[in-house]
Amino acid sequence: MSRLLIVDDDREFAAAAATLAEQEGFEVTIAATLADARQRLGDARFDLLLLDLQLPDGHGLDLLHEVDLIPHGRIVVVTGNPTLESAMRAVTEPVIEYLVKPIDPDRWLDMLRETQRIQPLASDLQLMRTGLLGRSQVVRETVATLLRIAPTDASVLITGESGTGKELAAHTLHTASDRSGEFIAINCGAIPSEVAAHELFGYELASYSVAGGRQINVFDRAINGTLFLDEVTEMPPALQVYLLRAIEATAMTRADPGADAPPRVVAATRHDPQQAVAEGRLREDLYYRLADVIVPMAPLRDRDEDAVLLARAFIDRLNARYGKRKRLARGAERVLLRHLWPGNVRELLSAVQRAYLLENDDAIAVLPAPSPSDAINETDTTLVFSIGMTLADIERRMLLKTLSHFKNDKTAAARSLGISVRTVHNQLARLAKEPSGQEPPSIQRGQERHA
Amino acid sequence: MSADTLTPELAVQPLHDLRNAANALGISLEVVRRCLERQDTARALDFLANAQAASERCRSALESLTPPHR
Repeated sequence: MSRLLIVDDDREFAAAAATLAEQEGFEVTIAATLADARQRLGDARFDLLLLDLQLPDGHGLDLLHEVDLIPHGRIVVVTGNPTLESAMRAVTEPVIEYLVKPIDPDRWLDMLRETQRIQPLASDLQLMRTGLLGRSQVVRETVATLLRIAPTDASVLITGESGTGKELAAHTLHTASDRSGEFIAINCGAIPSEVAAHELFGYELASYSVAGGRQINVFDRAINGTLFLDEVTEMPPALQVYLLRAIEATAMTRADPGADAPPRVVAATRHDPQQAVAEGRLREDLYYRLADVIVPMAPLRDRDEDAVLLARAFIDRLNARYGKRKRLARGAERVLLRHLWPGNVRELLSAVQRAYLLENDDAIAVLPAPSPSDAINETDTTLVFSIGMTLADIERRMLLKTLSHFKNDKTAAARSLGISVRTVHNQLARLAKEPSGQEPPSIQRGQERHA
Repeated sequence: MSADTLTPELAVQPLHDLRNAANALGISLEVVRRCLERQDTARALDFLANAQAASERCRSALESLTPPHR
């Protein structure tokens, strides 16, 4: 059941708003003062907080600085005395709505229903806590899952393509678990097997001395913390058996409630783990030991409009670093949303950084880099088209490639394409009026862009 | 400044009271409507009383805002 806290000293309104919420299935608590609200927020978790600004013992927005809001859900501010000052304050707080009384009962009911609908998803505050940027439903679901399992001892296997944020997810599990120990990350695919053996389980080559002379391995270093095994399916099968034994031995020897907690093992792979088991690249017993819970990280192409949000966030960071005020160019959103981003967030970050540093204009047109495989497969007389491209893209690239092939001879290009010269001119004129307000990049730069 | 001088803060107060009262009235009447739909007459009566109290607050705030007739 969703929980609502109404902080308002208007008894008649609070009672009526509470009744409507109860009829919608909410469990409602009413606080008439800031002091009462502070206590209620400390005692329970609320999915929705309706906060009046003028309270007998202070300003409602002060409450947002006095309590830990992370466990709570959405915050709606309501006031009978709207001022520019309070509105400006509210926009700097994690407030989703600033409502002026009298509020429309239908709007209130919509808000209640929306809260119930998104309740299993992470709130904006929870997203901010993780550092995982994005607002799409799939990211909110992933974050909600991570936060739900973080305080448990369950082993977690994070799957997802390269660049989807698997290590960030593992780090989120660690920080949200309140474990006091370290977060130790090991890339199982990058360590030579012998060194890996000693690093993980051994007491000789790459282990670490402690004061008493005993040598410690990564399991010791991650006591009370988290051991992150990246690219676990890349680990040579011969080592996997030792890893399995090390995990089980650590868990058994430190089972005493008073003792230090064994490391929480979080593994990650960009491959399908079940397929890796079927192909003998991942031991089945290790798979079951590592995968109490499997958390899939969605590729960027499945994350609604997150690519635009991420690009803007990256530009903001670069602006802060370089003291500039660059922004995303008009029309760039369309390019960002149309591209499939096979390299995911990492590829997007690289594209944004490249555009930011190379473009003189303050308005940045973020263009994906040509795919290396396309560059290999394309020749002077061939083009590579991939799923996800629009027909308009294909037509455009075909036209430009043909023109390039015929050294900009429009008559020859038209003949080759089976269209009139007038159509070629019309198409070029249309391309020049693309929403970015610039010439198509392929014309401007004399080279074609991977779409 | 004399005791009956209207400061900007005091001028805003009746409007604030009116907004609060109208808010309580609107939401209370919505509860009444929904209770009647559910044939919950006892609760409908409770919130009708709520609405009446809010209505009185509205009247009082409106009178504060309206200049007296000469």
